Amino acid sequence: MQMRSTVLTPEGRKRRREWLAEHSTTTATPVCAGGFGASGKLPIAKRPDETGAVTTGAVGAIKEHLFVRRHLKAMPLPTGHWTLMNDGIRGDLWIQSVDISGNLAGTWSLLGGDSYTILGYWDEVAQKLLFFAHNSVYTGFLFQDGSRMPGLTGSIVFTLVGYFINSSASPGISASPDRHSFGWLAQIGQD
Amino acid sequence: MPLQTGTWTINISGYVDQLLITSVANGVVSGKLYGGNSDITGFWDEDSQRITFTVLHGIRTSPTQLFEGYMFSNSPPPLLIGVPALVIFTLSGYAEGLVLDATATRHVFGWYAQIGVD
Repeated sequence: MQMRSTVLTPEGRKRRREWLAEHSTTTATPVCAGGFGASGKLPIAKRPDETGAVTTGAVGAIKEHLFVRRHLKAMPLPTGHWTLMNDGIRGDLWIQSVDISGNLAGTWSLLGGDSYTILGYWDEVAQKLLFFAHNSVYTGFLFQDGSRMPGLTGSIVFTLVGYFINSSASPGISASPDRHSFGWLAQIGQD
Repeated sequence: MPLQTGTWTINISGYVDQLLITSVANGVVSGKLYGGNSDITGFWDEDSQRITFTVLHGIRTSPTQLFEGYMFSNSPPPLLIGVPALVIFTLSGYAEGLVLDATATRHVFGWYAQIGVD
């Protein structure tokens, strides 16, 4: 299935261009084979670089640190069509707009079913999304990803991943007193 | 569904690594993270399909990272390269603490992990 591409406002396009220009050198999926340093924050570099070679030592540490800086820098939330995996069920998340204050608007649906309006907030500093959709509250965190869902197009993939709390029956979800929090993730591809 | 033991491929805010779940005994989870260099201990709540674990690594004597996630199953193919299988189990959630380049204003990150079962 061909996924639809992102639709951005002129301001969104400008911010996206700026961000991509600064981060466009990242192409490979990072694999941390060596784990993280004793500080718990700066990884020890021992992972394949873009050419597949494993770099260790100070040079590797610098590369790793640059990777961290590149991937963890705050970025705007991509608007458009996100492919949703909602507790294992495919769905669609349309983020139509995010205003300058972080208020977002869009729609949400599962398995091509009814579409519901969502309202929520985007915290760019924390890279955290919160939105309300059909008896559920979703919390997710954004990052640039090296892995993609089947069929997702675009040279750069962004992932939102987190959990949602469901208060009553929703399509495909059976909440109960013992189980009312679930996992979700969504991806969007961009060129 | 029980929590699958074995090697999960984990993606922490863009980092791909291995999460080894060595045992789940009476809801107590133990295993390894970050290339096997860090011990994890935590809990698996089967009713809520929720995993919670802390990570102890490096020279630290107390955990500095907390992971929480929820499991679901989905059809293959998986997101993560190298996860084979007929059925894919996914954990998704958040990690909090001294994770990656954590700061005062950003110290919670998204993560997901997948394992394939034939």
